[in-house]
Amino acid sequence: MQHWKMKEIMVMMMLAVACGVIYLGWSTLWLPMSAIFGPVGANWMFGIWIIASPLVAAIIQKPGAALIAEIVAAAVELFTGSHFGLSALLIGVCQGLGAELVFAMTRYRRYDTSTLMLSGVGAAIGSIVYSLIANGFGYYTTTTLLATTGLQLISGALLGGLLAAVLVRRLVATGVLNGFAAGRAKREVA
Amino acid sequence: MQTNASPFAKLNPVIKGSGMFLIMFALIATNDWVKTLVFLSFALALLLLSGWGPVDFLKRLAPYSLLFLLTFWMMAAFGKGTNTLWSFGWFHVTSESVVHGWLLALRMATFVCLSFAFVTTTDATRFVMSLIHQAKVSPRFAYGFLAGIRFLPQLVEEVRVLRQVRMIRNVQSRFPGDGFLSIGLPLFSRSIQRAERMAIAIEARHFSAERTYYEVPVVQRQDIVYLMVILLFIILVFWL
Repeated sequence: MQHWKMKEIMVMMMLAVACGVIYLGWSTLWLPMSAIFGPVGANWMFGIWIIASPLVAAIIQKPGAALIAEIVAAAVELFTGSHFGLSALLIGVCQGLGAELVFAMTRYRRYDTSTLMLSGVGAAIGSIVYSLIANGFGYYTTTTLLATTGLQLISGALLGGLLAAVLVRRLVATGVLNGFAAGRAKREVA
Repeated sequence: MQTNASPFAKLNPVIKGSGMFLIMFALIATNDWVKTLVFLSFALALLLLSGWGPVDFLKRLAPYSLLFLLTFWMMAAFGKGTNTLWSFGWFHVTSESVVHGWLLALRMATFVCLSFAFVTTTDATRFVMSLIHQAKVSPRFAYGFLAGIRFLPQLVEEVRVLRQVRMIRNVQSRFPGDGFLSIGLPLFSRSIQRAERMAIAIEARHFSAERTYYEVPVVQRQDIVYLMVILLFIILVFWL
C-alpha cells in the first residue's frame, strides 16, 4: 500500500464517499420501487449499490482499489449514523471482494468495459453469498431465489459495470482524470 | 456518528466494533429463533448501556416495527415450505416460512440495535484513530478517509441541489441509471478536483506515515472485560 500516491488515495476516498451519498439517496427509492415492482422485481436497482468498485478501480487501476472503495462507500452509512451501519459494512466487504477478485484475475491489467461489467457481476455474486448466509436467502422458494439472483447479476453488470464504464469515459473527456491511470490510458477504457 | 457520556462510549472503538461483529457472526451462525431472541435482548441491554432512555427506545425503534413486519412478511409469503397455512395469489404462507420469517426479522432487529449502540456512542475521529493504532490501518489511508468523510454534509447538499436542478428543468430519465449519470458526472468531477487539491495541500504540509499523534487510543481493562463478557455470552448461548 506504500506505492499509492496521496492524490490517488484522496480521489478514491472522495469518490467512494460521494458514491456512499448516492447509495443513501438510492436506498430511499427502494420502498416505493418494491411497491411498484414487488420485493423481487425491485432488485433491478441493485447495480447502483456496487458502482463504487468498478468506478474507482477503473480510475486508479491499482490492487485493492475496488475492495477499499466499496468498504468506504458502505462506511458512509455507518458515519451518517445509520441503523444499518454494521450490516452494511459486512455486505460491503463481500461485494468489494467479489469485484476485486475479477480485477485480480486480469492481474490488474484490464479495465475495459467488459472487465468492469464482469466486476459488477462479481460484486453481485459476493452480495448473493452474503445474503444466502446472513439474510436467509436459502429459505426462499427456488423461483424467488433464482429471480433475485438473476436480476442482481444483470443489474450488477449493467447498472454497476456498464454505467461505471460510461461514467469513466465521460469523466476522462472532461479532463479531470488527466493525472490518473484512466486518463493516461484513454484507449483502454473505451 | 457521535459520542455521549454513557459507559459504552468509553470503550475503545475498534474493540467495541469487533465485539459487535462477534455477536453478528454468532447470529448468522444460528438458525434457532430462541437463541436469536436471547441475542436481541443482549443487544437491547447494550442500548441501555449506551445511555438510551425509554423515550429513545420508543422514538427511534418504533419505525423499525414496520421494517420488522416487512422482513417477516417477505419470508413468510415467499419462503419455501410444505405445510400450507394460507395461500392467496402469489403469496404462499407455510408454517416453515413463518418460522423462518420470524427468525430473520429477529436477526434484522438485533443488527439494527447493535448498529444503533455503535453509532450513538462512537466519535468518528476517535474511531479512525483507533483504526490506525489498534487495527494497524495505514495512516495515509486513514487520514484520507477522515478527510473524505468530512465532506459528507457538503456532498449531500450537492446531490440535493443537482436533483433539484433536474426537477426544475423537468429532465426525464431515458433509461435506468440516466439520473445517476447526470447527477454523478458533475458530482464526481468536482470531487476529483477537490481531492487533488486536498492531496496537494496534505503533501505540502509534509504529511507522512511516520508521525506523532495528539491522542493515542489505548486498549484498557474495560475493553478486555467487554470482549470476555461477549465471548462468554456467545459460548453460553450456544451451550444451552
